[in-house]
Amino acid sequence: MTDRDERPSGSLPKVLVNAWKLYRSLVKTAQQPRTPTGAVVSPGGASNPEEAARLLTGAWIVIGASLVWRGARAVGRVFLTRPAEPGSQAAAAGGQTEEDKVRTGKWLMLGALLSWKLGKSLAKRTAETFLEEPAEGTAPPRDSAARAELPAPGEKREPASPTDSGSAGWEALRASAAAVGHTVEKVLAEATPVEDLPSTGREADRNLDREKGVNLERRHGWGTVLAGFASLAGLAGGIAFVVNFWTGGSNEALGGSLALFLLAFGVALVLWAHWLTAHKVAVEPRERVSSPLPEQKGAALEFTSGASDIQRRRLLVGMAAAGMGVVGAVVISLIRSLGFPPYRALDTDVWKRGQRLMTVDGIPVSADALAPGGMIVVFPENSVGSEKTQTVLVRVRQDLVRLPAARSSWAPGGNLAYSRICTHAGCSVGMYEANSHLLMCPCHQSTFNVLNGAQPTGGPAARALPQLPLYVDADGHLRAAGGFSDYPGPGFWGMPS
Amino acid sequence: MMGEGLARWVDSRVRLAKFVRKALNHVFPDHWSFMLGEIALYSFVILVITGTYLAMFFHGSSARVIYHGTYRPLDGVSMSAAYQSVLHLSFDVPAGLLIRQMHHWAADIFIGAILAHLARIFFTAAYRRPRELNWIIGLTLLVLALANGFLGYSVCDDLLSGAGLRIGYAILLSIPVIGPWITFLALGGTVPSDTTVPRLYALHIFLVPALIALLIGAHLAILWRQLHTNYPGPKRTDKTIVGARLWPSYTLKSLGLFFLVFGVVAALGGLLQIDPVWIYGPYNPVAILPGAQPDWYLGWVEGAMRLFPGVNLWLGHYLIPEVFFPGFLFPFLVFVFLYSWPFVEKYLSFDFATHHVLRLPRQQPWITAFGCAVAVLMLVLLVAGGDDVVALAENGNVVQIRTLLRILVFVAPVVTGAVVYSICRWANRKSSPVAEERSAAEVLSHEEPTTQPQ
Repeated sequence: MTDRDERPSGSLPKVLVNAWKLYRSLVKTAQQPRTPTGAVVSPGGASNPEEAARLLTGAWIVIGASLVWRGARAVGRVFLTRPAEPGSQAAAAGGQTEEDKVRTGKWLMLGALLSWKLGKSLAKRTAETFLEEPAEGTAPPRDSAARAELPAPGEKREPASPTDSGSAGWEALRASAAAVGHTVEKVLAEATPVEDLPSTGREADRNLDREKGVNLERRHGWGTVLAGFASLAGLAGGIAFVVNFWTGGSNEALGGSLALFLLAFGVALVLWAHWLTAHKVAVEPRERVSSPLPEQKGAALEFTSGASDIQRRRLLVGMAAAGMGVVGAVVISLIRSLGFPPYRALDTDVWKRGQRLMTVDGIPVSADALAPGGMIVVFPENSVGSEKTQTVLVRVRQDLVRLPAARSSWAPGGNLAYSRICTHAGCSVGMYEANSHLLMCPCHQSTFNVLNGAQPTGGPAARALPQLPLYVDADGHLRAAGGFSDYPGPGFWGMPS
Repeated sequence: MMGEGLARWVDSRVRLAKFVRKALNHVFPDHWSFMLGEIALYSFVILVITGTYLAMFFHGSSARVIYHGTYRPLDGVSMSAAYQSVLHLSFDVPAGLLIRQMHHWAADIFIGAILAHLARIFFTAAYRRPRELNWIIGLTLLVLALANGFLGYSVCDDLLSGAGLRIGYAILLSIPVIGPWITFLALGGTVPSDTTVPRLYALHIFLVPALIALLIGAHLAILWRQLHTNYPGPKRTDKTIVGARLWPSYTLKSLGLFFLVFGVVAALGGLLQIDPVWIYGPYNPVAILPGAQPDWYLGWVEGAMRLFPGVNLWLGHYLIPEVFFPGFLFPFLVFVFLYSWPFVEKYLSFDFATHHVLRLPRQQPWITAFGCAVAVLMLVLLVAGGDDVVALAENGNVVQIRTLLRILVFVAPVVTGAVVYSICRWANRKSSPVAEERSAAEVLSHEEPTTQPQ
């Protein structure tokens, strides 16, 4: 991956001069006798011969690749640049036409690119060979380079790395490297030893396979076969899904093939984990979950000493509190616009005196439309089909009605009308059992006796269904003699009692 | 190598190598019961994937339309645009029904896995210090998951979910003092109205999932920081962790589990029908649907609503309706109890120490018995939530069955508790006293100081 953003604007000569300076200093360091303690620091930032050698390799790669790339690009540019005047260009280019020139330029660019790639890989291979066997016992303290750069007192510099921009030499190398990609960094990274990192303890993990004497050859054999089969089944499932999809397969076929695809891959992965991966157990100490006391105190101190830089702290706190209050008011205002006051909407009387009772199809209901034992759903004539006004009309034998005295005239001809919204949780009280004269709500099985004003007789409902007083008009149609006797629907705080 | 180059490119900008090295070595204890939370996590991933797909087709609108689509039985029927888009998704979009059913099944598995995970934590006392915070976050995730499940099937605007929504509205409305205002602010008016589906939809696909994702992140970060608990066993003390490393063992297993969960969801979505809204028909306030139940995870609330006697409480002129007690107060108290449990348990067992080794269920007979009693109570309520269906299936009388359940709701938990307590004591006697002593000695010798220096 090349790094286009970091390409420096430096001209080719500048890059070459930098690289040459670096090269000289590195050669100097590389020629020092190899001793573990007597670290010599060159201007290039290398602290010992090994590091210098690594840098040297990098420098060679950079210089070579940079030369090839930059040179080729310069040549290519000459050929690809269109002349200002079309008339004079044929002579200037030695009889070549515009198209010829462009083509030559392209080939040159391509050639340069290829030779750069080739050079890069050759240089890398050389570097790897060169750096394969570092001399033993020569590893210096990692921060010797940084120490030599005289860091500020108290400042702890970490070991130099290709991506640090600590020294001038590294900077030059990095700039040159960036001009041609990350070649140097990659080579250096590969050649950097990791011995001085603290251990993670992985190598000390218990190997259960070895402890139990598991026949690994056998397990790996079976694991390979089974995981292979599972993977194949998964592939087959995936292909089956695609085929099913494009041929309009059924839901079962689609789901089944998708399931096969996913399940088989899941099985394969689990097999891989259990039969084709070493079984190891790590035992590690747990860190304390709370911070050590000094860290706690340090954090508190950091806060207070920072806070002491603020003037007028009480004012700030007061202002913040006031601001919070205002924010709260703003938020509450915004929330207020989400709804409207509930009580007016909940209190609306849905039936008006004189309204005819209509079926869901909008046909007025006459007093003898129902036989005793019958039941239909009715609405006021101006809101047929509405949720809030739904009313159930039943007819019973007149002599069975046991309404309170105040309601004696509400059921002309044994026609009884009640709100159809359950007073428990608001479902439609849609079932009627004519033999027992019970209305039943299908949601929680509350039952209401239509004979005595729809008082609840069973189930969780506590309040009677509101009754609608009726009268028969001159045409024999049923009309409301007023609103519901009570508030219809489930109860709430502030409901009219 | 491309991967290496990419890694170096990223590292040279954000310096990750040290963290990655540490992360790859992270130790995870190995036990089947530790996968329950992972199943929940992966179900959520599946929910996000399938849900995004569904959102491409769903119309979160209550606008009335007349249906003239592929599904002939509903031709010419008036319905909401939301319900129409669900029909379109189910019948006309290739694999649309599969994705929709997978989404619903994944939601069920999500909540089921959370509940199983919760039970595992409870019965092994994994909520003890220092894990109280993750207990609270986990419970909040459960609340959000339950809420989003309800919102999710409600936005389809079919007859079944419409009935559920009416009940939910009645419960919300029943809250003393603030109920009506809260309901109207949340839903923009009565239910059903034009604002109902858009409100639910915005909550379902944005606010609640965002909160869930955020809390899952916090849940995992805390788990990562505190390291997982261990079951008791050799070398497992409060000062050590025993398990497999993240790379490669745990990674392979966990990735395998993800595919398995996804595969099971695909199989269910393809082979087992769920929430066939076209059979219920569009929501119509005048129509009724006998035998209606909520999704199983809300069955306990439904059951409580059916068993609770019809008691109105009038405070002067102000009413606390009967649905408030079983529909709101009861679930509220259940969650208050759950949230406070780790803090209550500290005082009951007088144990304020940090614990990383789990207790086996039998080692805490009172708690195990109590937990089983609560679980059985929930089961009885779940059955009560479908008592009309039970009555139909058994040719019984719903009134008789309800009476029986009203007795069972008190008796069954007590009996279960007593039986479980005896089993725990028996199991403790059975287990080798030598092993018991050794593990006790081990735990004691590594006990952390009960109070931290302040």
